[in-house]
Amino acid sequence: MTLHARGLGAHVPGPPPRWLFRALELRITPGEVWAVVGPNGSGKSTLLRGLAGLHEAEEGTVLLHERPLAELPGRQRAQHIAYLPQATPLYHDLRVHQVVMLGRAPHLSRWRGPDREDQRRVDEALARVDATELAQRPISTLSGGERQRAMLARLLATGASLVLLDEPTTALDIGHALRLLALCRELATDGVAVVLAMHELELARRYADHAVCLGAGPDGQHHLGRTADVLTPAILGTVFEVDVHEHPDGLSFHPRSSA
Amino acid sequence: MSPWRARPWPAAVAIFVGTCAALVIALTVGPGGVSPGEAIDVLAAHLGLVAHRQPATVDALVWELRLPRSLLAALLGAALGLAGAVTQGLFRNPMAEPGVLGVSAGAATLAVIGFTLGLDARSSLAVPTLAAAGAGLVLLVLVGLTRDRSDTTTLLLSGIVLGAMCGSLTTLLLALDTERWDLGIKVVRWLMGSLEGRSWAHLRSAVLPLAAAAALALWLRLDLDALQLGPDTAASLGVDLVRTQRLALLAVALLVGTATALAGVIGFLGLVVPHVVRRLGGPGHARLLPLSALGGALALLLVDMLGRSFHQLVLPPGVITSLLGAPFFLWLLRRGDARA
Repeated sequence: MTLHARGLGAHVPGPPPRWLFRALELRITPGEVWAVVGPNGSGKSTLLRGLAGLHEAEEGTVLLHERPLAELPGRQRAQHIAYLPQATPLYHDLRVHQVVMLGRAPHLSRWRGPDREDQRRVDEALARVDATELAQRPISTLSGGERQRAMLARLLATGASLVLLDEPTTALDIGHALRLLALCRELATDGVAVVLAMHELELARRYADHAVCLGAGPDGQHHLGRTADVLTPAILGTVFEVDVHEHPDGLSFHPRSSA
Repeated sequence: MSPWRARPWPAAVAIFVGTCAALVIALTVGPGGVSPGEAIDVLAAHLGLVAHRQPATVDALVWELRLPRSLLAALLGAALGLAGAVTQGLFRNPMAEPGVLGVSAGAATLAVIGFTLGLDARSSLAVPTLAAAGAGLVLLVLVGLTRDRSDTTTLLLSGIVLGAMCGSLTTLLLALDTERWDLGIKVVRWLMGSLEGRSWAHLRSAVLPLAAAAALALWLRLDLDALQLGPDTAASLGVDLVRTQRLALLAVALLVGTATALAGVIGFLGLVVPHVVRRLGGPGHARLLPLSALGGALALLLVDMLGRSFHQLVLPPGVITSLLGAPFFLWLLRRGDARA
């Protein structure tokens, strides 16, 4: 399954409209890990929502396996593309395994309940994020890290070939963040395409093979390509308005000297 | 909150047995001194299980008056409980109530128009039909106002405003006819909710719309579950937000419309019942919806029995549900269950 964004453009309504990104050409193929970076408000979430088919961009189209996403029935789209928003509000207090079972929703029949296969997928997903013992807990009793693991299990249970995560590491401590990113790499090895919006540029450099950097200009300019070519000190310095120094073991960031 | 274990099956069995027992006891409540044994005898005779018959007066009292009334109370209670569960799921708020959609207020307005025109004298089903039409009208306006958006805030505010408008229309109709005391009394009785004199015909007219609405609600159970993770996640799981909202509205309108048409305005039941059964069976809609229906049936049966058990005084069910439900609601608020 290839996800192909063609001439994608989205703006914040004006006047005059402010383009978040424009003429964006993106081809995400199985096994790739993409990082979407950019300053706050640069359109990372909008791009992810667009790729997930939840938001129709003002310009361009998103094609899933060469079919326009907008024409695909919601259920079919949901079987192939799984999406984790920045924050998941939780209204009624579902239990973890119920939340994870919702990941199976795109596959469940309306009348027949979940069958053994669904149950197996849920157990497998829970085990994969090391959350088997949380299965019976009400979601409101979980810590931030546990909750993110439960949400991740929900994502995995779908069995989608394309996984979009909006800032999944932002609220996590470094240990949880690294384990989540390692899991994303593992998924990529299994042939899943992973797209991560993130603020941790160092981690993006380490875990993603491709990157999109938004916010590179007032008219929706952006950088896109192999991580090594996009997340460079020069580009990051300009986009985030900071001084970036390259060291043998990574980058360091400093406030831009006003001079 | 400490981790709890939901026990949906014991809860379902307990509520079901309770409802059956309440149904038999309901046949004995009121003037006439019918014992539970006699009541069961009458039922058995009509079902062809025993040959001998109770005296005609007892038979008529049980079979023609109390049984249809009690069955109707159970059925409409189930409708209101179910409507409450669907409303709370749609609005993602355990404090939502079907009344906020303005459906019952719309039903009341058209019913009052029916009373004003004297249509109730022509046919006992005229006012219920008008009330159902009123509920349908409010539904259409709601769908029109929200168009193709799935914005629950707009929906909620539209519902509240529509309800207020219908309420003032009802008051206006009464104000224009102040000299007709009989009309005022009829309307007030109806607005307080009443199950007096409901017959098998009323019961039969309720079955089809309620069955359709119940099937629709159950069909939506997964979508309602998914909505609890927020609209974005629900949409990413393949839930069609606009369609789900419309179908849920249709189900609630059918349930509340039918209940209001046949028993007047009965508030708070749809708020309290799902709240209680959620503690017993957990928040998943596959269990919450049937349990809410069962719980609603038991609740309205008990309310109706309570209303009939005072000497020479029949308390309207709507008054009892509000008198008991409102303090319960406040208690829930204080305990912090309003956490949305």
